[in-house]
Amino acid sequence: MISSDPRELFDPGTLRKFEAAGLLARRMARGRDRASRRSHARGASAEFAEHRPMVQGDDPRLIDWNAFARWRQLVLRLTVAEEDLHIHFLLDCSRSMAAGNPPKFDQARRVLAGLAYLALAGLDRASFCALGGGRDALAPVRGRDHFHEFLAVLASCALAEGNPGLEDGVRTWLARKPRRGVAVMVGDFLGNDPGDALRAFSRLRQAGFETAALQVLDPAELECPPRGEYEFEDCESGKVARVALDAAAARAYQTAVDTWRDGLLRDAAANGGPFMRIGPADDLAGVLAEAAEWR
Amino acid sequence: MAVNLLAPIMAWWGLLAIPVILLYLAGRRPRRVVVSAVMFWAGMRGAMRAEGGWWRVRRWVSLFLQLLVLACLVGALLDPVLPGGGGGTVFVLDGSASMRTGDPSRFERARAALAGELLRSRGSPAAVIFAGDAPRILTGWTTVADPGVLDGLEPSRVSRDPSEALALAGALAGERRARVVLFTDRVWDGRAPAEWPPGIAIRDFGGKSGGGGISHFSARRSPVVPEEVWIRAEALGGNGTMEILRDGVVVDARPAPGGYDAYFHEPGSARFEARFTPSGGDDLAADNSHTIAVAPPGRVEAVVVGEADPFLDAALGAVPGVDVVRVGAGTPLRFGDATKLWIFQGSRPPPDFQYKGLVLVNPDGDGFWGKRIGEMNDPVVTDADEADPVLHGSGFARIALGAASLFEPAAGARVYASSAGRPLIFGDWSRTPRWVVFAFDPAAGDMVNRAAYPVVIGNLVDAMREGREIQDSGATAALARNEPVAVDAAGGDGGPAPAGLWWILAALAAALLVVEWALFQKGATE
Repeated sequence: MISSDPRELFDPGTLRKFEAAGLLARRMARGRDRASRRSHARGASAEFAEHRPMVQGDDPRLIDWNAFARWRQLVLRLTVAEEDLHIHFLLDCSRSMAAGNPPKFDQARRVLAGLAYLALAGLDRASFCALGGGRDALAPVRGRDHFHEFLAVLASCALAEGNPGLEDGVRTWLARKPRRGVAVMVGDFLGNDPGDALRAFSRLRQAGFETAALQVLDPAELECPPRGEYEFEDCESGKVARVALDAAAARAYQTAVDTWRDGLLRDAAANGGPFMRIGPADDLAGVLAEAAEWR
Repeated sequence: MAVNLLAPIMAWWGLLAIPVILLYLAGRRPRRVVVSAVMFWAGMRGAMRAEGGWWRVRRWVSLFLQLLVLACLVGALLDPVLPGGGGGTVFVLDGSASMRTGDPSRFERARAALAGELLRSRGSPAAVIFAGDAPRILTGWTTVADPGVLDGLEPSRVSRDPSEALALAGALAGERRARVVLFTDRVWDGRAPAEWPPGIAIRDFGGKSGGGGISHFSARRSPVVPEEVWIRAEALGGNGTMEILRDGVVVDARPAPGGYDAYFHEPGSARFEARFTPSGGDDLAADNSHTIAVAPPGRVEAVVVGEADPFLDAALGAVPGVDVVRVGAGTPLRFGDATKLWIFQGSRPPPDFQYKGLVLVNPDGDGFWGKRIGEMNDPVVTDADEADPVLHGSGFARIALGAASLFEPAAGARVYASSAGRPLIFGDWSRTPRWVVFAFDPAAGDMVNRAAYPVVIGNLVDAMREGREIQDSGATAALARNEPVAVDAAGGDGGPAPAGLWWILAALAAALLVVEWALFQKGATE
């Protein structure tokens, strides 16, 4: 049964895990710069970015005279400007998230809350959107003071009505023109077809976002049932597939599942985005510790 | 081609099809399972999706195969056989008295031989009939005949011929074109061989035997003089002496072979015996003695209803063993007495009257005997059946009657005498309760003055008397003669045993099971 009580969903034990993960993240971040994402906007800082030939109208103060001495050509010395990282947390609210014991939806919300805590503790801007969930959203906020808002909106999140696909959900969110940054999608990625999740990630990348994925799956929900004749009903769309499950059908099903799962991994690896797969009962601290390395 | 079933009762196993079908129908509905996503199933090719023409049929293929396996197994249990040159063997064991001859007796030798045949015939259909006092089927068609069914059998003590048993065997054999084998000594009272079923094979356990025996012994009381007993005896076969004993005492002896006829005065009961003593050896002692117990002559109680009639009184008084009671015509009679002879003179008994014998002399009306429809003046006796016991020896045809009533006799009544087709004496005196109507008054003519009157009265009374039947001891001629009767043995040994089909069906069932298992492994069936 999906919980909507924040005290039950985010009990004191869970909150302690968030803090521990945040400490871990800070320790890991000491060797790196704060506000870790670089912007390609050119600004006044000491960090060299590149040289560019001077053209009429450029600021003469940016002329690199050392380069002139070498190349006998007037060139400008450009540097990197630092800015805030926007992390957008997208939660899959399809009805398939109710599966599992405990429900995947609860685990997904806890993990998402933990990731949001990490982001807010790292002074990144964090926003939230429930894909397919209608109006469940949180505008970008910064600082741990806003963490309780995350908890509240996550606790009140409900599963979507109807059969919203991931791609459609992402398209709807992109239509709101969110600030570019990192899109962290949390869900089971079970859509209307095996390519639904891949298309969703592709849309995000095409829109200029970097993607990270955390897949929550109950191992039992994808197990092949015993041999026999079945009417499998999709819990989201209501579609029914009548299958005479024999050895060949069981093999074909397993192949399809493995192909889909491998496809997601390959897509993430090909595009440089982190991908993690967890179960509904996996230890939250371990998940967050691993996720902290993403930074 | 007709197929015979040796165990048709096994067809009841076919009812197992009902639970097979019910379980199949109960389990064949696909399970409805709600899943997180059907996208993996939806992507399967059609052959794995339970849709389309083949999958609708596939569900029934499995049921059909299962029912076919069951049908083959039930068919095998039915033990079908194809008719061949012969359809098995019906064994008949002769149980007549002559089979007691010898030591070991013919019957014991025949039984041992038949037991061996039954063991050898296992696997082929066989049936066994015992031709004893009454033909008896010891075992019906079976391929595992048990020789134990022959245990405890004993031959009869009287001569029997196996014609009834052979007729039964013929009927059994005719179902499957089987052969009949008779284990016999071929000694019995003969019917003509042509009356027996053809194609009987004989296992002969007879042979020459020494000695003779009593071939006939009968006794009866004289119908005229009840105190006299007629004895008739005959001894045939070997030489010896035939003795007649009365109450254990030899009263006469004659050399055998030969016959004997004699009268004995015996007013009471007596036990007569005919005994044969061979002068040499005797293989069959069972036919050497026969006994008849003769009962005392029966008395007849007669009740005469009517006015005093000296002629009738005289006639009844002349018949020995009759007790007469006279009742006045006006005496109210209601139920009668089924042990007595009732004689109504000029009157009629009331309805539902009980009698053993009823004589109506010129009754004055209708009744169960018929309708009185008129008068006859001076009738002349034109027909009289003096061969019938009622008028035997009476000379009734010469009687002048004077006057008579005209009756229309009841249906089934016999007319013993008539005048130009008009019944004068009619009734049914051949069986109890007996009744007869005299449509005339004997005193109106000259019958009472003639011997016909007491003779007819005596005939009527004698028919009522107990102990007048011939008593026969059952001895027969063939026992002592030992003459075998020719039997048509053209049937020979019959043809080869028919082909059993049970193993074919069992193998087919096993093959179908293998096929279904293979299809199930491939997912073609459920």
